Amino acid sequence: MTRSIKIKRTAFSSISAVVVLAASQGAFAHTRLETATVPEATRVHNALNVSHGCADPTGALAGEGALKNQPTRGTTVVFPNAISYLPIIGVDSTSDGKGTAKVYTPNKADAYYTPLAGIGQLIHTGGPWDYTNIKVDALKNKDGFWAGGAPYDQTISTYVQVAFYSAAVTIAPTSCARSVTFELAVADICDLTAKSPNIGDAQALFWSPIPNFEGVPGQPFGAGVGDPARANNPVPVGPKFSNYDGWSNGDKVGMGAATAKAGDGWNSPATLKVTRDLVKNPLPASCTGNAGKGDDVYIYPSAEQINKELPVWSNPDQTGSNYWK
Amino acid sequence: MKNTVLKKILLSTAILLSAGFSSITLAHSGGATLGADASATDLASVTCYDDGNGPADHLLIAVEDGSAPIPGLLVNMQAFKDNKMTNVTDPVSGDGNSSPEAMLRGGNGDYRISVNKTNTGLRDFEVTFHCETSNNIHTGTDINVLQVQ
Repeated sequence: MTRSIKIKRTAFSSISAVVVLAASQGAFAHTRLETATVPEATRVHNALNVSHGCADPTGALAGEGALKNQPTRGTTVVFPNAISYLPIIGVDSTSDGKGTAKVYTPNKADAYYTPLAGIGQLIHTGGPWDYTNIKVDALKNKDGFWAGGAPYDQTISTYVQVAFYSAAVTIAPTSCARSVTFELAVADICDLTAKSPNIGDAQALFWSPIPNFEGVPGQPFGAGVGDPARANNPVPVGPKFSNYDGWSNGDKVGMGAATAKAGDGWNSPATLKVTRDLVKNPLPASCTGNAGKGDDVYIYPSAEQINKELPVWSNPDQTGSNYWK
Repeated sequence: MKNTVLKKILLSTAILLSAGFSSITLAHSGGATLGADASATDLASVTCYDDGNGPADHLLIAVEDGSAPIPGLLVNMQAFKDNKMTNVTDPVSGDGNSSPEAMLRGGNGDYRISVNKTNTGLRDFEVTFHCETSNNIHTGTDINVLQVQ
């Protein structure tokens, strides 16, 4: 009898530990793509995974240990568009894939890849939110999508997934790019009533691409006051990049306050990396980046595109009723 | 509230579908109006890829001029890839028939397609474009619009 009770208690404790661990992993996971690396010239049935909710709005659980347990009501996603906007492009020729040595280039995007828009295209599959729509530029090229509706209980972090196709991107044969990485702008929204700039981590999580690398005009971008506590992710003092960088003072209101610090997803965007087919599309012989293995190219949406297209509108072309901004 | 939101979404989509040279009109066709200037040119990028039916071998194009005929005013369409180019012309405007098809063999990747005309005057046109395998099986075809004039 005693042994049976002891076994049951041990089993229960183990289960509890797993649940806590899962919740912790979920709380610290980020919104990312299901398939983050794809080969060139291949359309992929992909998905955006929202991994957890927003911060506790009471602020009682501020800090890195906070469980992100407020229900997510929707997400909005923008992929870089190089037809109607000028994305910011960084080329890394020396860090061998780490992305730590990007250098700004004024070269146009078509020097590195095509197509120049339509990188992510929503699939209407009937899951998980009732309301969805695409986002388009002025020429009706697809730039992203939004999905929203019922709030999902995130007391224990649970993935919410939105399906889309990532485009068959071709890396320019004449370029030295061995990879092209698209940096997505994403906002996971928990409070539809909160409007920019009064949005903190309790209202929305911004997984924001911040082009803080050599040569980018205006960089370094960052919070109004750097947070020395984030020693492993230093936030340089500087201006905002877009209206949706994601600043938070940890609970309710963010952006611009003297105590502002980078939000949970600041400069932690979801990415889509396209790798070159070195057999069918070999590097030119003159390429020297990364000891001849090729350059890694990074495409950031412009601030103009993020500011215009990340908000949620009833129509794809940013007209009609505004649901979130 | 939910029904109102849903109705708005459906209505917006319908309006967008009727707007013309758009990647979400009928699959692999698109229409627009070329501006009055003789030099007016519309430009788009068509991406051919293997959607499971096999790698693309070529792009097929055709154009139909839906406007009333005007002597000396015809609509052309070109496709360009890898230093190769082809052209088609709708020989009779407004007869409900498109130009002959033209093929540009360029495999997977991005083709540029353009539409222009031979003289001043507005022209309503519709293009069709299909990426096909070497066995003439339809395969992955996507479009992005680059220029509308």
